[in-house]
Amino acid sequence: MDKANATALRTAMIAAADAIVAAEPELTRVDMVIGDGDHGIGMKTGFTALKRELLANEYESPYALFHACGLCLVKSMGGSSGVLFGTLLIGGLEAIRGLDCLDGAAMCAYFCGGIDAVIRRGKAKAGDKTMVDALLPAKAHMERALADTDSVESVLKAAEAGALEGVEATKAMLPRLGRSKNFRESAIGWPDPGAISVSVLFGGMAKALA
Amino acid sequence: MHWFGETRENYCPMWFESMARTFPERWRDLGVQGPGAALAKRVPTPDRVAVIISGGGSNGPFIPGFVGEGLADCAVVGPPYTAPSAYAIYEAGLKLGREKGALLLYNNFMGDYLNNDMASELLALEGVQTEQVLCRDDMGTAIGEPRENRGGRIGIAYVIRVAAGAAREGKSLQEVARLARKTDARCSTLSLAVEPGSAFITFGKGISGEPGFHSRENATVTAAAEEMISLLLEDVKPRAGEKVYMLVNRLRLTSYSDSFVMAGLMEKALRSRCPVAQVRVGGYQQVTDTYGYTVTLLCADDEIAPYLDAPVVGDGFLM
Repeated sequence: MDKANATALRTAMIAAADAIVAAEPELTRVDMVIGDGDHGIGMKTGFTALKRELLANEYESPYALFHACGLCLVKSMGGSSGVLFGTLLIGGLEAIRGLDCLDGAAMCAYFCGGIDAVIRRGKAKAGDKTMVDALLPAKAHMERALADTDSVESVLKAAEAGALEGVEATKAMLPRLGRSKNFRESAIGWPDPGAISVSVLFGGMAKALA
Repeated sequence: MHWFGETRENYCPMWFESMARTFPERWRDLGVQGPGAALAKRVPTPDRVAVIISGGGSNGPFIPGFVGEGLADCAVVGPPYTAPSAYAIYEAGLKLGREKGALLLYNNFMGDYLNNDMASELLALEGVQTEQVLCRDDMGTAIGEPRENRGGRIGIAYVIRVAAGAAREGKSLQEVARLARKTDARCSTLSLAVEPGSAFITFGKGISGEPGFHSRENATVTAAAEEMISLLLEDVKPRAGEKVYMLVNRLRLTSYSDSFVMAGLMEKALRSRCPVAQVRVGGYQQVTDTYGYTVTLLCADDEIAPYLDAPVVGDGFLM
């Protein structure tokens, strides 16, 4: 799909929510090793609530849809994950204000705004073994994809590919922030669960917009 | 909070609802989305900047006991020892900050920062102006590190009073925030914990039991008071034209009489080093099962001092 309106994006977010819920066992397994084990359950709680919210409502614009998604995650998830995934969906809203339909460039601008907001708020740097290590390559891949395409699906696919590259890279990283810093060396070889969630979110959306 | 039992799930909403029902003249429960809760002044003052304080629900009277005239407009808490949710702070901001904006005032901890910062963005999208002020007075939390890495303790009590006083005068949100930041920047707090039944003292223990930075055996009460004042003065370094205010906060196991004896010795030690504008003694912020104190020194110039002179009555304390 080249362009997506609020209805198509609602379907994409429902698919992303399903994908996150399906990934819960893997997220939990990884977080049990390097974190406090609650990332998967937190994500499942938040995205289950999100799906319920999306099924019960219609949205007049992509802005209204993503604003509602971000608020729902903040309300239902708690902890730092709720804030950070909420930030990812809310931080770039200015870029799509007033648009009825998102093309690849608008989608890229929206998520890049959200990614910048997560980095500003969470204070994590590249290489700290956090979701930022998936977000930064996702941003780079999206921006590069725009040279060849203006399709919303291709941009989200690029985001997923970048995020997956980031997930692989986090395996070699030592944690410097958050709970998993207490696990330091034993975290080597394991990916960051927040980074995995980012790749699942982009992948779920891309698939639904095919 | 030893005996949560079946109330654990819904502890903070039950707590604030009961406070509002018990003293309806003073408070109302804002009924925000759980698991946290928000308590506001009974009589709203929409013509002023709203001072919203927040943090993990703890033993009190800080945080909700600091809601009232001359103090904060609203307190938002998360579950016990957990940061409040951004959504609950957002709801409180929507209810109280529509007209003149809201000052989001809290101690510098990661969870509190993330949630207040998110709430501030959500409120901006709804057209509600906010300023955030983070308190960083606890010198025990980041020894040898820059001040901005410190957590907050009870220096926030002074910041709340200054912010509330400035808001009552009708000052703008930016001006209230500037005065609040100025107050925090000139405030230091240090804890002194005493092992039960001994004279083994430790300086700098954290609010959740993090280890201190310096201990002594067989300490006398007088020597402990003098050392406390020396450590604090070295940190806060009063400047010409500033007046020094001292807040002696007794922790839960410390007796009423002990705390006045200790405060008297501290005041004497302080007066021998600099002029003292005001000393307050009370139970402002508890730490479970600890005998000891936190002591806060504030150096206030002519702009800040007038907000602190008249006594204010909180819940269970006079300041």
